[in-house]
Amino acid sequence: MKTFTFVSVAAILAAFAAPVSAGQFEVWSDGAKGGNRTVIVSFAGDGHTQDAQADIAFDPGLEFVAASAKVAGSVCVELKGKNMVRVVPPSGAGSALSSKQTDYCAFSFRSRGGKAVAGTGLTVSFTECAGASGSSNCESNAIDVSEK
Amino acid sequence: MKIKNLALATAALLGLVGAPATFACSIAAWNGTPGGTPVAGRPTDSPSVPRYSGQCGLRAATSGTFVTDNTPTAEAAFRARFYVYTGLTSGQAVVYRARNAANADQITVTYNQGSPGTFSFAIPGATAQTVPAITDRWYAIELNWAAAGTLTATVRGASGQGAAPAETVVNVTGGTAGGAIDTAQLGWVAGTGVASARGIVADAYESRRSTAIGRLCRADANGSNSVTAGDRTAITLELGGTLAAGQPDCNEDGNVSAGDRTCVTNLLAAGASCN
Repeated sequence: MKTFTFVSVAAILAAFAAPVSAGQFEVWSDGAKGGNRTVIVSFAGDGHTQDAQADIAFDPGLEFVAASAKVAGSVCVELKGKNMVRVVPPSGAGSALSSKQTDYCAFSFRSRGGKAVAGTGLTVSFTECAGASGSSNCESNAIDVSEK
Repeated sequence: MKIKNLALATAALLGLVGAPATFACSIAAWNGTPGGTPVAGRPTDSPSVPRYSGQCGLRAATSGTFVTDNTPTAEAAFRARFYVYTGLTSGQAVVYRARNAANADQITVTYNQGSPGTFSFAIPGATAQTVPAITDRWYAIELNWAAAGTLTATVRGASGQGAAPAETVVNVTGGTAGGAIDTAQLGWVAGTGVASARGIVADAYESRRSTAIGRLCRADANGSNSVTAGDRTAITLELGGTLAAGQPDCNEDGNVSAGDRTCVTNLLAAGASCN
């Protein structure tokens, strides 16, 4: 399996940085060529979002292996039976979440039966960015790091 | 089909449900003579009135305090759903009673305080059935009554910080056939007991002839009919004084607090939706 050093995510983001008009999830995958992959999900706030959530569907050709939180208090879980993982940063509890792109969750997957899965194999199916003025969708991107 | 939505009549008529807390909580939707002086109010009122859903609840601090719905008319089949907060330190409270035109009881739901306490479900001519219940918690009560002399009661509440406990279903059978329902009363209808700080509180009453009603989406604080991270924000806002539009009391303890935000987080981690 390819080794994927996520320390570099911030640097990669810096290279692709753009003004953020809403909270934004980034889903970083190293497995565009199929096979096993590691996925990091990061989030950058917009100065208003206090709570955020992303539910990310994964290709049926992938098998969930493990999840870990990179920031204490984050929800990083598989939604069993749904081919989906969930990412929820810790609540801002009245304060806006950091606008600095921050890695919250790491997930690992392996391919079922060794078959390749095209692209990232990941689709952000639901997002929510909630603040004092209400809730709306967050922006999101699924990015194949191996192609950068 | 009939729907009675407690304590938000004024708001609903004016289309203000979910709007800032500028309208008065009201029992105007209840067309029968109330017992005592039931208080429709908000958690932000003094004294505070907890609610399960929306902004308003109905508080009964003493026995004989209730609202009355005279909309039913000789109903041979009847369903009802309500939420009740079990605010007693001792004794008992009849929290719901349905009667026929001659004022004979057809359905009686009683909370008996104890360790643990119980809800008791009774119909004429049959042995009452009980379900365990603890003090100072919200419970959803669903009733399905038929004139043939049967009552099915479904109870769930006091959920705590995680997934809701399983619902408890009891069947009261062998009752006297031929009954009818012409009126319903909700609150602290009868019974002798001592109220806790809040007393008996009721909310979110609905009644129908035959269609199942179902529970509200617990922890859906912002009223989106789902449980998502945004519900945590709605709870945070309520802690700051802006009441949530949905069902923010995730742990069903009668207080909306930071613990309810943690409860929502726990549900999100468990992959729960409406629960």
